[in-house]
Amino acid sequence: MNRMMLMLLVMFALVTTVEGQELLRDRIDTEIGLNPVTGDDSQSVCTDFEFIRRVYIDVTGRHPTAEAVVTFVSDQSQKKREQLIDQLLSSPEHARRLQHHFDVVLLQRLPKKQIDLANWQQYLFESMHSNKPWNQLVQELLTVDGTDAATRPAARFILARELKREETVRAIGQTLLGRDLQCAQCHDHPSVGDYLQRHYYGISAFLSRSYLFTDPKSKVVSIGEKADGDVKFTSVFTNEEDATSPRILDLDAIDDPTIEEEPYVVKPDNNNRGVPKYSRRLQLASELTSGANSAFRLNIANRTWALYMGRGIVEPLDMFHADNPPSHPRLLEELAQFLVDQNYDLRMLTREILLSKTYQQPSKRPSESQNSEPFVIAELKPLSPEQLGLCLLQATGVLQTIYEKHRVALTEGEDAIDETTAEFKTNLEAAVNKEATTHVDKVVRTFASANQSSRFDAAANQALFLLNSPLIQEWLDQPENLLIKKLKSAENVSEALSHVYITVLSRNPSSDELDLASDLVREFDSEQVAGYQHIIRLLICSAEFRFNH
Amino acid sequence: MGASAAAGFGPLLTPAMAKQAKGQKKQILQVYLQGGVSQFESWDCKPGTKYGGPFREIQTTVPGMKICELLPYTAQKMHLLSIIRSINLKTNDHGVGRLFMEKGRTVGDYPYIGSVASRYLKNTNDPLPGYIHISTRGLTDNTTAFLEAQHGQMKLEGVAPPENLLPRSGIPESVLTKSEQFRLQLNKQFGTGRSKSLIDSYDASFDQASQLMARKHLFESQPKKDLNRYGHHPFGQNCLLARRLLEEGVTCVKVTHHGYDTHAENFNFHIEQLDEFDKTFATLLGDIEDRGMLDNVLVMVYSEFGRTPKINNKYGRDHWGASCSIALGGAGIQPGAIIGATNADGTEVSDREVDGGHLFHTYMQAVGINSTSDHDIPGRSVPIGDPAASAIEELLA
Repeated sequence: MNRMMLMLLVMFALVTTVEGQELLRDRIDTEIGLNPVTGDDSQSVCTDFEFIRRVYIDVTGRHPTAEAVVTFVSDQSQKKREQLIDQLLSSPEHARRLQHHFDVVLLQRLPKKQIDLANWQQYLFESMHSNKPWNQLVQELLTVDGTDAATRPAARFILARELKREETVRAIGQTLLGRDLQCAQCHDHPSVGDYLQRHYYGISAFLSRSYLFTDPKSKVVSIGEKADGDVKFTSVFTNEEDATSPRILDLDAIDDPTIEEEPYVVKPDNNNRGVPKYSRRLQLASELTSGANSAFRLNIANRTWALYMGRGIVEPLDMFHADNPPSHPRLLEELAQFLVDQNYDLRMLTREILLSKTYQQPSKRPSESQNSEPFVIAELKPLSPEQLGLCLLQATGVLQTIYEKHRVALTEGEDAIDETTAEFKTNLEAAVNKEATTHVDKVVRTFASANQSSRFDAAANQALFLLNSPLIQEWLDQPENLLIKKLKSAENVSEALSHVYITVLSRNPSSDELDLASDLVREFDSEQVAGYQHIIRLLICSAEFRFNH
Repeated sequence: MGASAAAGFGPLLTPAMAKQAKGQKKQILQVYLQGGVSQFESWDCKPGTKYGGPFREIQTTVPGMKICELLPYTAQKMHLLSIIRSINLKTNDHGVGRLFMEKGRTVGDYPYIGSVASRYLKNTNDPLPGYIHISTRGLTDNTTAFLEAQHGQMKLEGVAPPENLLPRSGIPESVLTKSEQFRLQLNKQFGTGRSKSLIDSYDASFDQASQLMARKHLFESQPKKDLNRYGHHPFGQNCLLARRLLEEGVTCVKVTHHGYDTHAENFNFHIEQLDEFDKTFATLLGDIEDRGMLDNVLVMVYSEFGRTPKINNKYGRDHWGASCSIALGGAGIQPGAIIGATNADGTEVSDREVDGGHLFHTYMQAVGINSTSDHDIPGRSVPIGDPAASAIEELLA
């Protein structure tokens, strides 16, 4: 046979596992239209500089230190990208990043209600750190009634919405099923044919018997449930009345079983939280996460893809319907099926996505006329408010200084921990996170909005913050700031500026950039450090800093 | 901005003027009386009745239209405004009422009037933010819902400059200029071969920021002559700033006057509050008219609800959303009209009942936004106004 056929056979053998199944990462590349193995493909992926910055921000929420960049770029090993991915995915920083991400997805920056926020965040962090399967997490959020202090934080999903129907049903639809059913509350959705009023009330029927119970003695609020009550609804357009049992979208309705005689385990009254023998709310968790409900797995597969690729296969993420088809339907099905096969292990799916060539595409088009198919070129991904906060701390030397302070504290003295242990890494991250959060919160306040859109937004007050905020100046002026110390001890302006670029933008400056920047620093005369600080402030205002690329 | 050619014609435009005005940018001035102004003590008096309270009503410049004696200066301007007396918000809750009046909807995540106006009326090259809210206290809400962040309210703490307006001290002017070039060069380089729309959005926010920085004089001291006319109190200063912002082309300016939640001493507090409000508001409205801006500026004076007919044992009135009023005029609103009515003792709406949904449609239509169409957002179909309500047609000129 000819050379080409031989090469193809060899390639096919390389991309399949022993069992003969193609790896998901390669299926991704095939579906997107990037041939997985085309000989020397080092041209078609992003540079090492770009890769380490991108994967650090995506996986740990902040860009790499200057040292990490230099080490990675000079490392000659073939498998360094895969090793870096695995190192970052197993880090506590990754769990923290997912805590921030899922907190915003699931709780949409709602204020504290009933549940202590620190407890909730810790619960979410531990769930991510232990790689809790997604379906298990969702079941906890929907079934925990708040009476047990150990599991109570999970009840925030429901309690933050005070079990108000319009908020709770909407949240379930948006965050767990990829469908914003808000408009279907009062009538069938006026323009989305797939979103019907009975879909809205089908979900509501699981929750309509539940209510908030306040313990008269402890004043603690938990979730109780009655054994009766049915859901009826009327369309304000047609005035037709209808009713529904609990029902997930178009799956079968779940009728109540016949209960002989006493329907309650605990009868509801002023002193007692109602506990029925048959709980509609507990059914919600099992029905929603069941294999029969494809919306559940498609939603999380799409959201995971969007998190790392910058855009969902279905966009917007909460608009799954027939007139808004996925850009790559077969791929989305495969991602969802993979998750099911892996028992909803999000880390496994993430790993496959990060290892694909698709993830590693450059964000810059080599020429003007280029394929504009989604995902062929990497998307620019605006930093989330939390990512921006951490990156600002990293860019100004604050994060490095905090890390070093706590590293020293943990490795010295009587209770010293060995730096190579997992325990050390976890304790260090926890201590750093506690201190960093006080700074990050100030950034989040300016950059966060309750806007659920995944589109990028920029406002004048945010630009003013980056340009002029005295807070950022305080960070740079801290006497113990390790970055500033290093810049002070640089041999010359060039060396200092190169270090600034590597620290802030994870790359070397071009000679033109070096000239421009040196020119600016010269304007500061003898106050060279002020000059370097000024350059840092300019770089953090750049689009290159604002977007992960 | 203002059609100076229309000055002197007031609200009665000739068809030619109307056509010209249509091509000009519309704006909105919101004066929010926070806490719930009493309709009995303002727009819908019931003197001499069981719940009417001690004040009389006075004539206005509109024959047949009388308002409370606590508003003598505003009474001289009523030929520029209309009153709706038949609002039933079906709520007595501050939050619910306020959001209903701002969003035109009782439930769900929707943008406020100011953000909608900013989105559809603001020109791309307008230097200032499209929606500015001047208030000396209160929370900063997210007002944009699913619209872009740049249409969110920029909250000003009274006449103090926006946070971080002033550049860091000690940086020479030459450095600032070179720095801006440096930043633009960085973005140009980064933008080559990358998503133009994202980077343009980002650049636009810095443009807006520098426009704000160039206008810091707006937030420095105000001319004494003007302050004498507007009043040397925060509400006076805020309204003066509001006028200047409208003159600078800000699409929607909202000023909040606090202190109307009069559960106790309703009558004394209304004397104080409306004394401050009356002269200032009349001056502001008069200035807008004098500058020929009224044809293009929708003006509204509103609260989150009214106050109870029943007077409680602290001489107060409590929350009452069942029958309350609003005053509005300018832009496409026919002035000098009274829409709707309440019964003789002011305990319920007797004619032409409307709610926040109808009002919202009316505001939008008055500034040329089709409230029955969908928002211009990708991937979603969301009507601008609640489809279950409609504009108050008889009020639209």
